[in-house]
Amino acid sequence: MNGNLLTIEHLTKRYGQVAALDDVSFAVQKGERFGVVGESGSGKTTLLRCILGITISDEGRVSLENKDITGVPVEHRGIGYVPQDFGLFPHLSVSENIAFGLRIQKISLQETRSRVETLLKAMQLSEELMSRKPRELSGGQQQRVALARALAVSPKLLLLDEPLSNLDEATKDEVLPYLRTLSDRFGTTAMFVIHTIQDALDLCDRIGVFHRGRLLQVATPHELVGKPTTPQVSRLLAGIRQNHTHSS
Amino acid sequence: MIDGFCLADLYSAGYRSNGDSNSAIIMIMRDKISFLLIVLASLLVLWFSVPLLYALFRPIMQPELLAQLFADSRFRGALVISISTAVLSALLAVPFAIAIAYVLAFLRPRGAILIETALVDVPQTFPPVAEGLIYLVLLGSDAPINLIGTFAAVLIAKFFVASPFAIGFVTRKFRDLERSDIPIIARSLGAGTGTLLWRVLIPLSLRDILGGFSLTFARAMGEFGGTLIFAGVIAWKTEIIPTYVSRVSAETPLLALAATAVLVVFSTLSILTFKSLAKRV
Repeated sequence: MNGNLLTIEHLTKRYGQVAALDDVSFAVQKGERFGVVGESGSGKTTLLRCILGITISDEGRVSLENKDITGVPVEHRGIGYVPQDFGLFPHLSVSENIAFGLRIQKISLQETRSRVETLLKAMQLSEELMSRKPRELSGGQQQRVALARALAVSPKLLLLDEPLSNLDEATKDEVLPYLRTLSDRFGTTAMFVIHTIQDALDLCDRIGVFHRGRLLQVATPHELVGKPTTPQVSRLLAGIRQNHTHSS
Repeated sequence: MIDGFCLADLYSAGYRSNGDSNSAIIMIMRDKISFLLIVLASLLVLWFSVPLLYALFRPIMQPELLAQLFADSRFRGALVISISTAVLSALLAVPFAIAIAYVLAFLRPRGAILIETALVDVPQTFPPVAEGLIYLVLLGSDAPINLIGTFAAVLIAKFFVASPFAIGFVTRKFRDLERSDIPIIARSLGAGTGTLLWRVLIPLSLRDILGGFSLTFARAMGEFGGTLIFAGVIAWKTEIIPTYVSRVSAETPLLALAATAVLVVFSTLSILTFKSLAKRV
Protein backbone atom coordinates (compact mmCIF):
# COMPACT_ATOMS: atom_id res chain seq x y z
CA MET A 1 0.00 0.00 0.00
CA ASN A 2 1.09 3.56 -0.69
CA GLY A 3 -0.07 5.73 2.23
CA ASN A 4 -3.48 7.11 3.11
CA LEU A 5 -5.85 8.32 0.43
CA LEU A 6 -8.89 9.01 2.58
CA THR A 7 -8.68 10.13 6.19
CA ILE A 8 -11.71 10.42 8.43
CA GLU A 9 -11.15 12.28 11.70
CA HIS A 10 -13.64 12.46 14.57
CA LEU A 11 -16.62 12.53 12.22
CA THR A 12 -19.90 13.10 14.06
CA LYS A 13 -23.38 13.56 12.67
CA ARG A 14 -26.50 13.79 14.82
CA TYR A 15 -30.15 13.73 13.84
CA GLY A 16 -31.87 15.15 16.91
CA GLN A 17 -30.77 13.05 19.88
CA VAL A 18 -29.55 10.17 17.69
CA ALA A 19 -25.90 10.09 16.65
CA ALA A 20 -25.82 8.57 13.15
CA LEU A 21 -22.02 8.88 13.32
CA ASP A 22 -20.29 9.13 16.68
CA ASP A 23 -16.66 10.31 16.66
CA VAL A 24 -15.57 8.08 13.78
CA SER A 25 -11.91 8.04 12.73
CA PHE A 26 -10.12 5.77 10.28
CA ALA A 27 -8.06 5.90 7.09
CA VAL A 28 -8.26 4.15 3.72
CA GLN A 29 -4.98 3.45 1.97
CA LYS A 30 -4.28 4.08 -1.70
CA GLY A 31 -5.26 1.15 -3.89
CA GLU A 32 -7.16 -0.54 -1.08
CA ARG A 33 -10.57 -2.21 -1.18
CA PHE A 34 -12.12 -1.04 2.08
CA GLY A 35 -15.42 -2.45 3.31
CA VAL A 36 -17.85 -0.61 5.59
CA VAL A 37 -20.04 -3.18 7.27
CA GLY A 38 -22.90 -2.94 9.73
CA GLU A 39 -26.56 -3.60 10.29
CA SER A 40 -29.31 -1.17 9.26
CA GLY A 41 -29.00 2.03 11.26
CA SER A 42 -25.30 1.49 11.97
CA GLY A 43 -24.31 4.74 10.24
CA LYS A 44 -22.92 3.26 6.98
CA THR A 45 -25.10 5.38 4.71
CA THR A 46 -24.47 8.58 6.68
CA LEU A 47 -20.73 7.92 6.44
CA LEU A 48 -20.99 7.40 2.67
CA ARG A 49 -23.02 10.61 2.31
CA CYS A 50 -20.48 12.58 4.38
CA ILE A 51 -17.57 11.30 2.26
CA LEU A 52 -19.48 12.01 -0.95
CA GLY A 53 -20.40 15.49 0.27
CA ILE A 54 -24.19 15.20 0.27
CA THR A 55 -24.43 15.35 4.05
CA ILE A 56 -22.41 17.86 6.07
CA SER A 57 -21.12 16.47 9.35
CA ASP A 58 -21.62 18.32 12.65
CA GLU A 59 -18.02 17.76 13.71
CA GLY A 60 -14.86 16.22 12.31
CA ARG A 61 -12.98 16.23 9.05
CA VAL A 62 -12.84 14.33 5.76
CA SER A 63 -9.51 14.55 3.90
CA LEU A 64 -8.57 13.19 0.49
CA GLU A 65 -4.83 13.03 -0.23
CA ASN A 66 -4.27 15.12 2.90
CA LYS A 67 -6.53 17.91 1.62
CA ASP A 68 -9.52 18.82 3.77
CA ILE A 69 -12.61 18.31 1.60
CA THR A 70 -15.21 18.58 4.37
CA GLY A 71 -16.80 21.67 2.83
CA VAL A 72 -16.03 20.93 -0.84
CA PRO A 73 -19.10 20.45 -3.09
CA VAL A 74 -19.77 16.95 -4.50
CA GLU A 75 -18.82 17.92 -8.07
CA HIS A 76 -15.34 19.07 -7.03
CA ARG A 77 -14.38 16.14 -4.76
CA GLY A 78 -13.16 13.69 -7.40
CA ILE A 79 -15.04 10.86 -5.72
CA GLY A 80 -16.97 8.42 -7.89
CA TYR A 81 -20.22 6.83 -6.77
CA VAL A 82 -22.07 3.68 -7.78
CA PRO A 83 -25.36 3.31 -5.88
CA GLN A 84 -27.21 0.12 -5.07
CA ASP A 85 -29.61 0.48 -8.03
CA PHE A 86 -26.71 1.56 -10.32
CA GLY A 87 -28.43 4.92 -11.03
CA LEU A 88 -27.88 4.87 -14.78
CA PHE A 89 -29.41 7.86 -16.56
CA PRO A 90 -32.48 6.25 -18.16
CA HIS A 91 -32.75 8.78 -21.01
CA LEU A 92 -29.16 8.24 -22.18
CA SER A 93 -27.66 5.31 -24.10
CA VAL A 94 -24.88 3.15 -22.65
CA SER A 95 -22.14 5.15 -24.41
CA GLU A 96 -23.76 8.48 -23.42
CA ASN A 97 -23.91 7.30 -19.81
CA ILE A 98 -20.22 6.39 -19.82
CA ALA A 99 -19.27 9.62 -21.61
CA PHE A 100 -21.34 11.84 -19.27
CA GLY A 101 -18.45 12.94 -17.05
CA LEU A 102 -16.00 13.20 -19.98
CA ARG A 103 -18.31 15.64 -21.78
CA ILE A 104 -18.42 17.81 -18.65
CA GLN A 105 -14.59 17.85 -18.64
CA LYS A 106 -14.82 19.04 -22.28
CA ILE A 107 -12.66 16.17 -23.52
CA SER A 108 -12.61 15.95 -27.34
CA LEU A 109 -15.16 13.72 -29.05
CA GLN A 110 -12.43 11.47 -30.46
CA GLU A 111 -10.78 11.01 -27.08
CA THR A 112 -14.18 10.46 -25.42
CA ARG A 113 -15.08 7.79 -27.98
CA SER A 114 -11.74 6.06 -27.50
CA ARG A 115 -12.09 6.07 -23.69
CA VAL A 116 -15.65 4.77 -23.88
CA GLU A 117 -14.51 1.91 -26.15
CA THR A 118 -11.61 1.07 -23.82
CA LEU A 119 -13.92 0.96 -20.80
CA LEU A 120 -16.50 -1.15 -22.64
CA LYS A 121 -13.76 -3.64 -23.48
CA ALA A 122 -12.42 -3.60 -19.92
CA MET A 123 -15.89 -4.36 -18.61
CA GLN A 124 -16.41 -6.97 -21.33
CA LEU A 125 -19.43 -5.15 -22.71
CA SER A 126 -19.88 -5.65 -26.45
CA GLU A 127 -19.90 -2.59 -28.72
CA GLU A 128 -23.42 -3.36 -29.88
CA LEU A 129 -24.65 -2.39 -26.40
CA MET A 130 -23.36 1.16 -26.91
CA SER A 131 -26.60 2.50 -28.35
CA ARG A 132 -28.90 0.62 -25.98
CA LYS A 133 -30.82 2.27 -23.15
CA PRO A 134 -30.17 1.03 -19.57
CA ARG A 135 -33.60 -0.67 -19.36
CA GLU A 136 -32.51 -2.98 -22.20
CA LEU A 137 -29.58 -4.35 -20.17
CA SER A 138 -29.34 -7.18 -17.65
CA GLY A 139 -28.55 -6.40 -13.99
CA GLY A 140 -24.90 -7.43 -14.39
CA GLN A 141 -24.50 -5.35 -17.55
CA GLN A 142 -26.09 -2.34 -15.84
CA GLN A 143 -23.65 -2.58 -12.96
CA ARG A 144 -20.67 -2.82 -15.30
CA VAL A 145 -21.90 0.23 -17.23
CA ALA A 146 -22.29 2.09 -13.92
CA LEU A 147 -18.72 1.10 -12.99
CA ALA A 148 -17.43 2.18 -16.41
CA ARG A 149 -19.23 5.53 -16.09
CA ALA A 150 -17.74 6.19 -12.66
CA LEU A 151 -14.24 5.08 -13.75
CA ALA A 152 -14.32 7.17 -16.96
CA VAL A 153 -13.42 10.34 -15.06
CA SER A 154 -10.60 8.57 -13.13
CA PRO A 155 -11.86 9.26 -9.60
CA LYS A 156 -9.36 9.10 -6.77
CA LEU A 157 -11.84 7.16 -4.69
CA LEU A 158 -14.81 5.07 -5.78
CA LEU A 159 -17.73 4.59 -3.39
CA LEU A 160 -19.96 1.61 -4.03
CA ASP A 161 -23.18 1.29 -2.05
CA GLU A 162 -24.27 -2.33 -1.60
CA PRO A 163 -22.77 -3.42 -4.93
CA LEU A 164 -23.84 -7.06 -4.54
CA SER A 165 -27.18 -6.86 -2.77
CA ASN A 166 -29.34 -6.38 -5.88
CA LEU A 167 -27.74 -9.26 -7.75
CA ASP A 168 -28.58 -12.96 -7.88
CA GLU A 169 -25.80 -15.50 -7.26
CA ALA A 170 -24.94 -15.92 -10.97
CA THR A 171 -24.71 -12.16 -11.51
CA LYS A 172 -22.65 -11.79 -8.32
CA ASP A 173 -20.11 -14.22 -9.77
CA GLU A 174 -20.17 -12.20 -13.01
CA VAL A 175 -19.50 -8.90 -11.26
CA LEU A 176 -17.11 -9.89 -8.44
CA PRO A 177 -13.99 -10.15 -10.67
CA TYR A 178 -14.49 -6.56 -11.86
CA LEU A 179 -14.88 -5.30 -8.30
CA ARG A 180 -11.83 -7.26 -7.07
CA THR A 181 -9.54 -5.88 -9.79
CA LEU A 182 -10.59 -2.21 -9.68
CA SER A 183 -7.32 -1.14 -8.11
CA ASP A 184 -5.00 -3.20 -10.32
CA ARG A 185 -6.70 -2.34 -13.60
CA PHE A 186 -7.82 1.23 -13.00
CA GLY A 187 -5.61 2.41 -10.13
CA THR A 188 -8.72 3.27 -8.13
CA THR A 189 -9.19 2.97 -4.40
CA ALA A 190 -12.60 1.53 -3.61
CA MET A 191 -14.82 1.77 -0.58
CA PHE A 192 -17.70 -0.68 -0.41
CA VAL A 193 -20.69 -0.17 1.85
CA ILE A 194 -21.93 -3.68 2.49
CA HIS A 195 -24.74 -5.13 4.56
CA THR A 196 -23.67 -8.78 4.37
CA ILE A 197 -20.46 -9.60 6.21
CA GLN A 198 -19.74 -12.59 3.94
CA ASP A 199 -19.68 -10.32 0.86
CA ALA A 200 -17.26 -7.98 2.64
CA LEU A 201 -14.97 -10.89 3.59
CA ASP A 202 -14.99 -12.06 -0.05
CA LEU A 203 -14.25 -8.67 -1.51
CA CYS A 204 -12.28 -6.38 0.79
CA ASP A 205 -8.66 -5.98 1.92
CA ARG A 206 -9.80 -4.40 5.18
CA ILE A 207 -13.16 -4.03 6.84
CA GLY A 208 -14.54 -1.43 9.24
CA VAL A 209 -17.45 -2.70 11.36
CA PHE A 210 -20.03 -0.10 12.43
CA HIS A 211 -22.67 -0.36 15.15
CA ARG A 212 -25.08 2.44 16.10
CA GLY A 213 -22.88 5.13 14.58
CA ARG A 214 -19.66 3.92 16.16
CA LEU A 215 -16.71 2.26 14.46
CA LEU A 216 -16.05 -0.88 16.47
CA GLN A 217 -13.12 -2.46 14.66
CA VAL A 218 -10.99 -2.07 11.53
CA ALA A 219 -9.21 -5.24 10.46
CA THR A 220 -8.36 -7.56 7.58
CA PRO A 221 -10.93 -10.32 6.93
CA HIS A 222 -8.57 -12.85 8.53
CA GLU A 223 -8.06 -10.75 11.69
CA LEU A 224 -11.75 -9.98 11.92
CA VAL A 225 -12.80 -13.61 11.82
CA GLY A 226 -9.95 -14.64 14.16
CA LYS A 227 -10.03 -11.81 16.72
CA PRO A 228 -13.29 -9.87 16.95
CA THR A 229 -12.73 -7.18 19.58
CA THR A 230 -16.31 -6.60 20.73
CA PRO A 231 -19.38 -8.77 21.37
CA GLN A 232 -21.24 -6.92 18.57
CA VAL A 233 -18.57 -7.86 16.02
CA SER A 234 -18.62 -11.45 17.31
CA ARG A 235 -22.40 -11.53 16.91
CA LEU A 236 -22.14 -10.18 13.36
CA LEU A 237 -19.58 -12.86 12.56
CA ALA A 238 -21.33 -15.69 14.39
CA GLY A 239 -22.75 -17.42 11.32
CA ILE A 240 -19.55 -16.94 9.35
CA ARG A 241 -17.29 -18.34 12.08
CA GLN A 242 -19.56 -21.35 12.45
CA ASN A 243 -19.23 -22.03 8.73
CA HIS A 244 -15.51 -21.37 8.94
CA THR A 245 -15.17 -23.93 11.82
CA HIS A 246 -17.27 -26.50 9.97
CA SER A 247 -15.28 -26.11 6.77
CA SER A 248 -11.95 -26.35 8.61
CA MET B 1 -67.28 -7.24 -22.09
CA ILE B 2 -66.17 -5.23 -19.03
CA ASP B 3 -65.53 -7.44 -16.00
CA GLY B 4 -68.01 -5.81 -13.68
CA PHE B 5 -70.85 -6.28 -16.13
CA CYS B 6 -70.55 -10.09 -16.33
CA LEU B 7 -71.39 -10.59 -12.69
CA ALA B 8 -73.22 -13.87 -13.17
CA ASP B 9 -70.15 -15.45 -14.75
CA LEU B 10 -67.89 -14.13 -12.03
CA TYR B 11 -70.14 -15.35 -9.24
CA SER B 12 -70.28 -18.83 -10.69
CA ALA B 13 -66.50 -18.76 -11.19
CA GLY B 14 -66.19 -17.83 -7.50
CA TYR B 15 -68.35 -20.74 -6.45
CA ARG B 16 -66.47 -23.13 -8.69
CA SER B 17 -62.98 -22.08 -7.75
CA ASN B 18 -63.42 -21.81 -3.99
CA GLY B 19 -66.25 -24.11 -3.23
CA ASP B 20 -67.21 -22.55 0.13
CA SER B 21 -70.02 -20.06 0.52
CA ASN B 22 -68.00 -17.47 2.51
CA SER B 23 -65.53 -16.76 -0.26
CA ALA B 24 -68.42 -16.69 -2.76
CA ILE B 25 -70.13 -13.98 -0.67
CA ILE B 26 -66.88 -11.99 -0.54
CA MET B 27 -66.64 -12.33 -4.31
CA ILE B 28 -70.24 -11.15 -4.79
CA MET B 29 -69.67 -8.23 -2.40
CA ARG B 30 -66.53 -7.28 -4.22
CA ASP B 31 -68.31 -7.31 -7.56
CA LYS B 32 -71.28 -5.43 -6.17
CA ILE B 33 -68.84 -2.73 -5.13
CA SER B 34 -67.21 -2.87 -8.58
CA PHE B 35 -70.66 -2.52 -10.12
CA LEU B 36 -71.47 0.46 -7.89
CA LEU B 37 -68.16 2.11 -8.75
CA ILE B 38 -68.81 1.62 -12.47
CA VAL B 39 -72.28 3.16 -12.11
CA LEU B 40 -70.86 6.17 -10.23
CA ALA B 41 -68.03 6.57 -12.75
CA SER B 42 -70.52 6.42 -15.65
CA LEU B 43 -72.70 9.07 -14.00
CA LEU B 44 -69.68 11.34 -13.66
CA VAL B 45 -68.71 10.81 -17.30
CA LEU B 46 -72.31 11.70 -18.33
CA TRP B 47 -72.35 14.72 -16.01
CA PHE B 48 -69.31 16.22 -17.76
CA SER B 49 -69.77 14.95 -21.30
CA VAL B 50 -73.44 15.91 -21.86
CA PRO B 51 -72.97 19.72 -21.63
CA LEU B 52 -69.63 19.54 -23.46
CA LEU B 53 -71.07 17.44 -26.28
CA TYR B 54 -74.13 19.69 -26.45
CA ALA B 55 -71.89 22.78 -26.72
CA LEU B 56 -69.92 21.01 -29.43
CA PHE B 57 -72.68 19.46 -31.53
CA ARG B 58 -75.36 22.14 -31.37
CA PRO B 59 -73.29 24.58 -33.51
CA ILE B 60 -72.22 21.73 -35.80
CA MET B 61 -75.90 20.98 -36.45
CA GLN B 62 -76.26 24.63 -37.51
CA PRO B 63 -73.19 25.33 -39.70
CA GLU B 64 -74.48 28.82 -40.48
CA LEU B 65 -73.81 29.67 -36.82
CA LEU B 66 -70.11 28.88 -37.24
CA ALA B 67 -70.02 30.87 -40.48
CA GLN B 68 -71.63 33.82 -38.69
CA LEU B 69 -69.16 33.47 -35.84
CA PHE B 70 -66.06 33.52 -38.02
CA ALA B 71 -67.50 36.40 -40.06
CA ASP B 72 -67.50 38.48 -36.89
CA SER B 73 -64.22 40.42 -36.70
CA ARG B 74 -64.53 40.75 -32.91
CA PHE B 75 -64.67 36.98 -32.57
CA ARG B 76 -61.59 36.55 -34.77
CA GLY B 77 -59.82 39.15 -32.63
CA ALA B 78 -60.89 37.37 -29.43
CA LEU B 79 -59.60 34.08 -30.83
CA VAL B 80 -56.21 35.61 -31.72
CA ILE B 81 -55.85 37.32 -28.32
CA SER B 82 -57.01 34.16 -26.50
CA ILE B 83 -54.57 31.86 -28.24
CA SER B 84 -51.59 34.24 -28.20
CA THR B 85 -51.96 35.08 -24.49
CA ALA B 86 -52.55 31.42 -23.59
CA VAL B 87 -49.46 30.28 -25.54
CA LEU B 88 -47.37 33.08 -23.98
CA SER B 89 -48.65 32.24 -20.48
CA ALA B 90 -47.69 28.59 -20.97
CA LEU B 91 -44.30 29.47 -22.49
CA LEU B 92 -43.54 31.86 -19.63
CA ALA B 93 -44.74 29.37 -17.03
CA VAL B 94 -42.26 26.67 -18.05
CA PRO B 95 -38.94 28.42 -17.18
CA PHE B 96 -40.42 29.87 -14.00
CA ALA B 97 -41.79 26.44 -13.07
CA ILE B 98 -38.36 24.85 -13.61
CA ALA B 99 -36.70 27.53 -11.46
CA ILE B 100 -39.14 27.28 -8.56
CA ALA B 101 -39.22 23.46 -8.79
CA TYR B 102 -35.41 23.36 -8.49
CA VAL B 103 -35.43 25.74 -5.52
CA LEU B 104 -38.21 23.87 -3.71
CA ALA B 105 -36.97 20.34 -4.43
CA PHE B 106 -33.19 20.73 -4.25
CA LEU B 107 -32.45 23.81 -2.12
CA ARG B 108 -35.39 23.14 0.21
CA PRO B 109 -35.65 26.64 1.73
CA ARG B 110 -37.37 27.24 5.05
CA GLY B 111 -41.08 27.61 4.41
CA ALA B 112 -40.98 25.51 1.23
CA ILE B 113 -44.45 24.12 1.97
CA LEU B 114 -45.81 27.65 2.44
CA ILE B 115 -44.20 28.81 -0.82
CA GLU B 116 -45.58 25.82 -2.74
CA THR B 117 -49.05 26.33 -1.27
CA ALA B 118 -48.97 30.02 -2.21
CA LEU B 119 -47.78 29.30 -5.76
CA VAL B 120 -49.71 26.14 -6.62
CA ASP B 121 -52.77 25.72 -4.43
CA VAL B 122 -53.87 29.26 -3.57
CA PRO B 123 -54.08 30.62 -7.17
CA GLN B 124 -56.19 27.62 -8.20
CA THR B 125 -58.70 28.23 -5.41
CA PHE B 126 -58.55 32.03 -5.52
CA PRO B 127 -61.63 33.77 -7.01
CA PRO B 128 -60.40 35.08 -10.41
CA VAL B 129 -62.52 38.22 -10.01
CA ALA B 130 -60.67 39.03 -6.77
CA GLU B 131 -57.36 38.41 -8.55
CA GLY B 132 -58.43 40.90 -11.27
CA LEU B 133 -59.40 43.38 -8.58
CA ILE B 134 -56.00 43.11 -6.88
CA TYR B 135 -54.18 43.78 -10.17
CA LEU B 136 -56.61 46.60 -10.93
CA VAL B 137 -55.41 48.40 -7.79
CA LEU B 138 -51.78 47.20 -7.94
CA LEU B 139 -51.22 48.01 -11.62
CA GLY B 140 -54.07 50.44 -12.20
CA SER B 141 -54.48 54.14 -12.82
CA ASP B 142 -53.19 55.13 -9.35
CA ALA B 143 -50.12 52.89 -9.57
CA PRO B 144 -46.71 53.87 -11.05
CA ILE B 145 -47.36 51.48 -13.95
CA ASN B 146 -50.86 51.44 -15.42
CA LEU B 147 -51.62 48.28 -17.37
CA ILE B 148 -55.42 48.47 -17.38
CA GLY B 149 -56.87 47.64 -20.77
CA THR B 150 -53.61 46.29 -22.23
CA PHE B 151 -52.53 43.00 -23.79
CA ALA B 152 -50.08 42.65 -20.86
CA ALA B 153 -53.02 42.80 -18.43
CA VAL B 154 -54.63 39.79 -20.17
CA LEU B 155 -51.33 37.93 -19.97
CA ILE B 156 -50.83 38.74 -16.28
CA ALA B 157 -54.38 37.72 -15.36
CA LYS B 158 -54.05 34.44 -17.24
CA PHE B 159 -50.56 33.67 -15.90
CA PHE B 160 -51.81 34.01 -12.31
CA VAL B 161 -54.49 31.34 -12.61
CA ALA B 162 -52.83 29.05 -15.18
CA SER B 163 -49.12 28.85 -14.27
CA PRO B 164 -49.74 26.82 -11.05
CA PHE B 165 -50.41 23.79 -13.27
CA ALA B 166 -46.91 23.90 -14.75
CA ILE B 167 -45.36 24.70 -11.34
CA GLY B 168 -47.16 21.78 -9.69
CA PHE B 169 -46.24 19.26 -12.41
CA VAL B 170 -42.55 20.15 -12.57
CA THR B 171 -42.14 20.48 -8.78
CA ARG B 172 -43.59 17.01 -8.20
CA LYS B 173 -41.24 15.50 -10.79
CA PHE B 174 -38.15 17.33 -9.51
CA ARG B 175 -38.99 16.18 -5.98
CA ASP B 176 -39.15 12.55 -7.18
CA LEU B 177 -35.80 12.96 -8.93
CA GLU B 178 -34.26 14.59 -5.86
CA ARG B 179 -35.16 11.51 -3.83
CA SER B 180 -33.32 9.27 -6.32
CA ASP B 181 -29.54 8.85 -6.61
CA ILE B 182 -29.47 10.33 -10.12
CA PRO B 183 -28.65 13.97 -9.21
CA ILE B 184 -25.91 12.82 -6.79
CA ILE B 185 -24.34 10.66 -9.49
CA ALA B 186 -24.42 13.52 -12.00
CA ARG B 187 -22.72 15.76 -9.43
CA SER B 188 -20.13 13.11 -8.57
CA LEU B 189 -19.27 13.05 -12.29
CA GLY B 190 -18.58 16.79 -12.16
CA ALA B 191 -21.98 18.25 -13.10
CA GLY B 192 -22.70 21.74 -11.76
CA THR B 193 -26.25 23.05 -11.44
CA GLY B 194 -26.47 24.07 -15.13
CA THR B 195 -25.37 20.66 -16.44
CA LEU B 196 -27.58 18.89 -13.92
CA LEU B 197 -30.58 20.88 -15.17
CA TRP B 198 -29.91 20.72 -18.93
CA ARG B 199 -28.61 17.21 -19.24
CA VAL B 200 -30.44 15.37 -16.49
CA LEU B 201 -33.39 17.03 -14.76
CA ILE B 202 -35.07 18.69 -17.76
CA PRO B 203 -34.74 15.69 -20.13
CA LEU B 204 -36.06 13.38 -17.42
CA SER B 205 -38.96 15.76 -16.73
CA LEU B 206 -40.00 16.39 -20.35
CA ARG B 207 -43.32 14.58 -19.96
CA ASP B 208 -44.20 16.58 -16.89
CA ILE B 209 -43.05 19.84 -18.49
CA LEU B 210 -45.22 19.11 -21.54
CA GLY B 211 -48.11 18.09 -19.29
CA GLY B 212 -47.76 21.31 -17.28
CA PHE B 213 -47.48 23.35 -20.49
CA SER B 214 -50.64 21.88 -22.02
CA LEU B 215 -52.75 22.31 -18.87
CA THR B 216 -51.45 25.85 -18.38
CA PHE B 217 -52.43 26.62 -21.99
CA ALA B 218 -55.88 25.05 -21.59
CA ARG B 219 -56.57 26.84 -18.28
CA ALA B 220 -55.36 30.13 -19.74
CA MET B 221 -57.74 29.69 -22.70
CA GLY B 222 -60.66 29.46 -20.28
CA GLU B 223 -59.65 32.30 -17.90
CA PHE B 224 -62.41 34.90 -17.55
CA GLY B 225 -62.89 36.82 -14.30
CA GLY B 226 -59.42 38.27 -13.82
CA THR B 227 -59.15 39.35 -17.45
CA LEU B 228 -62.62 40.94 -17.41
CA ILE B 229 -61.88 43.05 -14.33
CA PHE B 230 -58.23 43.94 -14.99
CA ALA B 231 -57.98 44.06 -18.80
CA GLY B 232 -61.55 44.91 -19.74
CA VAL B 233 -63.18 44.03 -23.06
CA ILE B 234 -61.51 45.93 -25.91
CA ALA B 235 -61.82 44.40 -29.37
CA TRP B 236 -58.54 43.13 -30.87
CA LYS B 237 -56.72 44.15 -27.69
CA THR B 238 -58.10 42.55 -24.56
CA GLU B 239 -61.22 40.73 -25.67
CA ILE B 240 -60.83 36.98 -25.34
CA ILE B 241 -63.26 34.18 -26.16
CA PRO B 242 -64.74 33.87 -22.64
CA THR B 243 -65.42 37.63 -22.46
CA TYR B 244 -66.77 37.51 -26.04
CA VAL B 245 -69.11 34.68 -24.98
CA SER B 246 -70.23 36.68 -21.95
CA ARG B 247 -70.86 39.80 -24.08
CA VAL B 248 -72.92 38.13 -26.83
CA SER B 249 -74.72 35.53 -24.69
CA ALA B 250 -77.65 37.76 -23.73
CA GLU B 251 -78.63 38.73 -27.30
CA THR B 252 -77.40 35.72 -29.31
CA PRO B 253 -77.02 32.75 -26.99
CA LEU B 254 -76.48 30.27 -29.84
CA LEU B 255 -73.59 32.36 -31.18
CA ALA B 256 -72.10 32.33 -27.69
CA LEU B 257 -72.53 28.55 -27.66
CA ALA B 258 -70.71 28.27 -30.98
CA ALA B 259 -67.83 30.38 -29.57
CA THR B 260 -67.77 28.09 -26.52
CA ALA B 261 -67.53 25.09 -28.86
CA VAL B 262 -64.47 26.62 -30.53
CA LEU B 263 -62.90 27.16 -27.09
CA VAL B 264 -63.63 23.55 -26.06
CA VAL B 265 -62.18 22.21 -29.32
CA PHE B 266 -58.97 24.25 -28.93
CA SER B 267 -58.45 23.29 -25.31
CA THR B 268 -59.21 19.60 -25.87
CA LEU B 269 -57.05 19.38 -28.98
CA SER B 270 -54.13 21.10 -27.25
CA ILE B 271 -54.32 18.74 -24.26
CA LEU B 272 -54.59 15.67 -26.52
CA THR B 273 -51.69 16.87 -28.71
CA PHE B 274 -49.40 17.44 -25.75
CA LYS B 275 -50.45 14.15 -24.15
CA SER B 276 -49.52 12.27 -27.32
CA LEU B 277 -46.22 14.21 -27.51
CA ALA B 278 -45.52 13.39 -23.88
CA LYS B 279 -46.07 9.69 -24.58
CA ARG B 280 -43.36 9.80 -27.24
CA VAL B 281 -40.66 11.37 -25.05
